[in-house]
Amino acid sequence: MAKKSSIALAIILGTIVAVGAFAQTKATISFWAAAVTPERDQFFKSVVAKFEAANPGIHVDYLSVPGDLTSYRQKWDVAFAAGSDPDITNDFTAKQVEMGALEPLDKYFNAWKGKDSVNPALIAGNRTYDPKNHYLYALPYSAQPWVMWVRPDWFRKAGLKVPTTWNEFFSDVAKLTDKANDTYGTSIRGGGGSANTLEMLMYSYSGILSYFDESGKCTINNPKNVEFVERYLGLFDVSTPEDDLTKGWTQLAATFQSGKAAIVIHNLGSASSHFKAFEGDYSKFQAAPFPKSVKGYVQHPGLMPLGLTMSKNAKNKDAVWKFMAFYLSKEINSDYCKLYGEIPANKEAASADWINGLPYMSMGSKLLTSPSTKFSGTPYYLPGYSTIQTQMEPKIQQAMLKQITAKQLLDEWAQLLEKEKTAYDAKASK
Amino acid sequence: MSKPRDFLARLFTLYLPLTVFLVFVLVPILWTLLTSLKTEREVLSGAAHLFPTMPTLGNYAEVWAQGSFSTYFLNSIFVSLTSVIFISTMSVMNGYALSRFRFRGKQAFMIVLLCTQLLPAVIFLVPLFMTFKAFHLINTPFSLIIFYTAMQAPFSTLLMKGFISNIPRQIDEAAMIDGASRGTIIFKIVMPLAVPGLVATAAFAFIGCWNEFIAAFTLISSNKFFTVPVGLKFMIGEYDVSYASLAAGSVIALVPAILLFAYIQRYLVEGLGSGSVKG
Repeated sequence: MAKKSSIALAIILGTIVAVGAFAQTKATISFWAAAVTPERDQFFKSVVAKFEAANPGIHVDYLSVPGDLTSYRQKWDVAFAAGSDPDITNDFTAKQVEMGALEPLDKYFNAWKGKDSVNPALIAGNRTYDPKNHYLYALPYSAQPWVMWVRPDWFRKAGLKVPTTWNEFFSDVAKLTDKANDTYGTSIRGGGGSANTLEMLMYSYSGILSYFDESGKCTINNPKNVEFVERYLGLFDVSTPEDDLTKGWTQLAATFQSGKAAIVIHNLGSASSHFKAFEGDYSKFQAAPFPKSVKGYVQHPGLMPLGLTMSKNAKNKDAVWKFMAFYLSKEINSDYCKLYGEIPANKEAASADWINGLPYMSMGSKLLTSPSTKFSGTPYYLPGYSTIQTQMEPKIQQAMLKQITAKQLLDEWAQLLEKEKTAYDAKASK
Repeated sequence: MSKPRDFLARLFTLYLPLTVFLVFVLVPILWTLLTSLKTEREVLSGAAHLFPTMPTLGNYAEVWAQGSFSTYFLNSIFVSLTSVIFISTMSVMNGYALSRFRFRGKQAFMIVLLCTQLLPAVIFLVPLFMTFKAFHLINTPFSLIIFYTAMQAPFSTLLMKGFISNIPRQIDEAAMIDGASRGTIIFKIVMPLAVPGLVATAAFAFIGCWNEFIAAFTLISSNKFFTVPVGLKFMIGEYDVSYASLAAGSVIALVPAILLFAYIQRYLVEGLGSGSVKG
């Protein structure tokens, strides 16, 4: 009896050791996906499953992080401080580069057979986050252009066309406003994210391409930008709802989707939200390029660098790169961009039939590839760029309430950007 | 005072203010409940209206099954209940010691306990993360249990000290004369008398643990260990909010708290009342 028990125990222990040893031969990599909803979670889980099936020696420890990017970055900050940041993130920031948190991808990218499949403009855009060495710290997976979301049914009913110039925009917005019926020409984002939207619109109006002149002076308070801010913020509570003062994106989306505003400004990423809200009825929502600037050309904000990053602390870097390259395959990149409403970085995926089949994607793709579209030199590479925007948001509310003038607002904004640029240039020259 | 005058006095000093307060408290809960029964399309349709035109329970089914809410719910129950057991035990022991014993540094200790309530939990996150990591507790429910116990115990201790101080010391002394040990006095004599206070303390501790978000979001890096507050965040995306699903999730999150307070209501009123008067 004792002998039988010993044999059974030895078999059990041996099995445990064997399983443990087998488990240890698998390389484990961690991937935190940002701003995940239940729908996006299904997508990422399927990507992980497909990758693991194709690479049985690699296990992906996947975490879907809910909420917005701010929450994600806060969680990442704590993990990085403790040396437990994930191997892969899909949120690329200048701050991560400055902190030395990321592994340069150049040696992997240069040796990669699929490197010519990625849009070179997006690669170049991502390199701007490293002013000194121009290393590639994130593998781009998409471009996310900003557009006007409009109600084509409202325009048709009013006998108007979707505005192609800023003067048409201001005129149409006034004509489409019917305060008695609680409908407005546009809705202004006065809450979180207001600075980002206002900044890109003013440069779209003025047609100024560079944020800084040769002497380092910021152009944000150029008279044409001031003129735009006066006109645009002057719409508040005249051709916009009164509660615009505190609206973030979710409230702005609700205003548009509940039929209160004819025009809102956001990126193509909200396409799936509008599609769901309007039940796929394209007669009720449409993406349109920004109106032409006073200089006569369409100008959109510079494309924000996006991409997958590799942590400097990653233990299985080769396995991490394998996942990143898999993510950029035509099939996965297409699926991702269909879900997120972004233009694929994979060139084959970007010219696929489904892009032309979706009106807003077709418009976004044409916008990006049109030779006549110009893009602002948005200084995403400045580590303090987003922080300055956050600092300006209460000032924008003051300007909306006419407590300060547009010139005062933009003068202060310019000072902050100049200071940030000076510090950045000093660091880059060391 | 005549009866009509008496009635009018009660109406304006008691019933009307209570009614206003009740409406103020209940309307958001009612709005959430009714929103949870609407489709997303109805929530976003033009004019806001209270009652759903075609009530549906689909949001609950979606949130519970597809949204993995069942997992988050069970995690929250486990973490909160376990934390409350530890918090209650520690607060009874600490509260008894502060109430009955004199020792050097007692006042300073109480001040330190109070001061811990002045610090926001978020400032502890980075050092805590590193400490838990060293003990391999990151991404386990135990990290949350330890955190919640540490955060809630000081305030619970001060509450229990107040409740126990209302129990006459003479009862302890009488028991000691009869040969009872300190442990017997605490668990067989003081605790039964302090049950209302203990229930009130435990209830507040439970609510604190149940609603906590930032530590659960930061210390857990696996979906299977997320709690209800983190699960609710999945309904709030980068670009849109699933209002109906969020409402359904919120109602589910409310259920344990409502059941708990309904059951312990009697003890709660008694406990809060007794804690307000020092014996």
